[in-house]
Amino acid sequence: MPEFISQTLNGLSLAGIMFLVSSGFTLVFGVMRVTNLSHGAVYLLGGYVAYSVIAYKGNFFYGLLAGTVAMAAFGLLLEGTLIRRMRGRPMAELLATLGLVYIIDDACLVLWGGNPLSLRLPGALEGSSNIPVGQITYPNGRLFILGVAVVVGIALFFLLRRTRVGAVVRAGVDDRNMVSALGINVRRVFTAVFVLGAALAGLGGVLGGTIFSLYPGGDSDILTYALVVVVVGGLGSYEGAILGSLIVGLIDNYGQAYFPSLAYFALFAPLVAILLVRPQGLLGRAAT
Amino acid sequence: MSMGAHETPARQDGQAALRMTKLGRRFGGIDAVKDVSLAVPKGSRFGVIGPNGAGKTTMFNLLSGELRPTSGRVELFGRNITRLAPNRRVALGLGRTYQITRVFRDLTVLENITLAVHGLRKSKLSMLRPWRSYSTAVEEAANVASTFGLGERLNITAEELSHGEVRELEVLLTLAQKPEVLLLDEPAAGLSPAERVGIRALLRSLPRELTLVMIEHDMDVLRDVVEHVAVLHFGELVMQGTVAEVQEDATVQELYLGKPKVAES
Amino acid sequence: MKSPSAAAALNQVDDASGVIGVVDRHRRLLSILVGVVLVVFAGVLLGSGGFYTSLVEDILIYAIAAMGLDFLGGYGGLVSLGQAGFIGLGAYGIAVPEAHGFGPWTSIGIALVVVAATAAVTGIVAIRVTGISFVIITLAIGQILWGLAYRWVSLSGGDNGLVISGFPKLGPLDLTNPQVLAFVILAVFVVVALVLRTLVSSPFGLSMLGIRSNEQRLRTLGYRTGLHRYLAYIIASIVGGVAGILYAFSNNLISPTTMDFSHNGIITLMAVLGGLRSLWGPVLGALIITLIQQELSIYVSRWQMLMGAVFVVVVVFTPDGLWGLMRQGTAALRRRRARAGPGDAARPDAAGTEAGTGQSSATESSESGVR
Repeated sequence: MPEFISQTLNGLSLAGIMFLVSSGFTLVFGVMRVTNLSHGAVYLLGGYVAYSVIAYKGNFFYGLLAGTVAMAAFGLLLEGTLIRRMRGRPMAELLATLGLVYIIDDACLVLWGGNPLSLRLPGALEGSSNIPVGQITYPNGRLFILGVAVVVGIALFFLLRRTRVGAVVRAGVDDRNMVSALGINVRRVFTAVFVLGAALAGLGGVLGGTIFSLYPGGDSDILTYALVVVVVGGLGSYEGAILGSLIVGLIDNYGQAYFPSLAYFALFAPLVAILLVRPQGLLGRAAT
Repeated sequence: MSMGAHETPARQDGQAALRMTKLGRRFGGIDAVKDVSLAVPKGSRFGVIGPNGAGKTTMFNLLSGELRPTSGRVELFGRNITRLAPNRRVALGLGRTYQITRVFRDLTVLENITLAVHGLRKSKLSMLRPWRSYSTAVEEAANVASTFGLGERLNITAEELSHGEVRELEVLLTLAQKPEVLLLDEPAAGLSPAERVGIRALLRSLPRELTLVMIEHDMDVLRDVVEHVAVLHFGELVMQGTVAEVQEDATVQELYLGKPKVAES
Repeated sequence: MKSPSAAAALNQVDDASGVIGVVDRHRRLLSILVGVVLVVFAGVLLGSGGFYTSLVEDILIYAIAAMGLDFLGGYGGLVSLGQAGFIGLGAYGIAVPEAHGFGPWTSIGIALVVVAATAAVTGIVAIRVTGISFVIITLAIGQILWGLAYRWVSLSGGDNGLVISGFPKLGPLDLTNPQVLAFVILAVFVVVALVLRTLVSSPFGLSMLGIRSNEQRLRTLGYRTGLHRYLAYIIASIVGGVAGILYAFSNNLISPTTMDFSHNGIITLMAVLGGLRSLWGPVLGALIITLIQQELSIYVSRWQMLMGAVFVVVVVFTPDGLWGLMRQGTAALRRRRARAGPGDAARPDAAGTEAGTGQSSATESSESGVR
């Protein structure tokens, strides 16, 4: 039983990272109809930036901030240059971001080399805590990830459900013409959402770097996770990203813990099942 | 025109080509189409009119199978097709066109119509020879085009056609499948009087044996083509009769009062 | 039966003059000629042995895979990001049976069956969606195949991969001889190109264009479009598998890297860079990217960055890829000529110039493959 609880917590913290990455991906897709295949590369870049800042400053939280802010800035640049040029050509946007993956990956290889790098957690987060339920000790770092994911998740939920900006974003998901009709600056909303998505990917990269380490190719691994999550949850649906992350994170982790030989199938089993039964994803809307 | 392209259900003489019985469709709490019963005799030509939102296109969607009715039934030559998939209805000889034209914009006129010709044949899956070497299909497509007015435009992509020609192509796609019952959804909508010339000529030249149901606001076009008119209002069939009867009917005039859209252009 | 005007239009009367006119009239002949010259040139390089042999082999193999992807993406509008997975599957389909003692011919048979069966199964899932979702699903399928190769160590040899040691032999066709192997690869390339050429111009190919253009309308014309997409997916995957079988014999080694995300992307880049919706495009793309990868990497260490940058520029500025750009160039030249030509003013522009180009519009329409 303690083993099961700690595996569940592992699954949840994995889900937390998946959520940070996939919620950005799905919001960008939902609002802008942009499929950003470089989202995984942004995750990796965020982690690497944090690595350098931590090495220089010696403080993990500076790294966390730097990775997130740097990726927000990168998102701003990307949206203002490449994405804006190609608006309304979804397949071309997808392919351009695919080309971008090779550029970012190669740049990371030049700057940070090919060896896996790990982000070290600061003092208090490095240890473990006793958890009252089931009397287990559990690493603080993973609890921290889980905590950040929950806080971000709730904050985004309130942003989307309770504020005017959020209403606009959701309207963008539901009815793009209406947003323009409301006289809202769609362009600014697009930029903001893209920057938010990139920042979330960067944050995910910093946190992910503490458990997965950062390495060339790590971006395609996380991108695959994120894509499975959004397809399971429903492309473009924020709540779908939450639900999908929980499903995929838990299944993947239980799979690796209890059926190691089938783990890889376990990750894709929900994907196949969903596609056969509900191609638009659990909380997605049917294509029109 | 030969009529052999599709499976022909057993039929008796004098039977309705298309029969709706208490046909209805609800969206949420609203009846888009309500209790419509209408028999369209074989070879007859019906116009369907009614103000915007009267349920005309919804009725067509129920007939062509793109929507399932919430009540009632649809029969094609006496066969119950209420739950049949759209492509099966096409195979049974029911063709329709769309108000918002849906042609293959980046393909040529000939490619467009050839696709339609192959649509009801097994050859649509054939992979071994160029489609241009299927001379019967290609000639049939070219014939359809030249008979109904686009014969000179075969090698032009649909996006280069004029508005009016795109409308004609939309109808040709359906005609190429040699339907016995044809549903036309506002074939002249959005066209200027000059642009209407081609499509009106096309409608006049439709083979006499074709059973036709046409949604149209333009009374000139209607008089050109149909004998009977059915009037829909808020999803219900409020009257039917000859063109003249309907035009003189007080209720209809009231429905359309202040609606310049019906005014002859 | 046929009315005179229809017959005239079908016969493609063309009165364009000058070089472009000649090119137009003999377009078919010309493209055959260009093809033959290229094949002969490739043949000479292949015969020379050494570095150029393996370079040309790689180009041909990736060109085959990219053509298969183009059939699905350019003609059917279903861009796949999982084609390298089928190259890997074809190659492992040779390597695994050979490691278990099967002969090379049996292994080829097994490889083809495995590829076809995997395509048939994954296709059921993949054709549930179209557009962007299809790209994502094929990417996931590619990652599954990669993950299998990477983690199913007992079968695949894991990270180290497997060596291919048995080569098929049929009379004088002895594939252990690198020269013979090189020409067999060239022959397979030509056959695949001809098969795909037939396929894209067939009624089935036309239906793929229809799906890409307006799938919903095609359905209302009586097509079961899901079936068409399913068959196209299987065909494209088998073409990828054939490339993989050649890859196995050409490289003698298959490891998971060949089918990782990066390689999946590269094959898509090849098809798109060269230009979708023309079978020449992917060949051009495979040529350019393989050259960047193998030749330029000798001089420039950052070839990946270069490749990515070239690709982004192409996608942003020329939606039809490089081949499309060339076609637009000749079309613009032709239009200018037509306008300048005497007596052309009276002729409606469209009727005159389009009649000449119309013939091949099924494969060469001006509409882009990437929107």
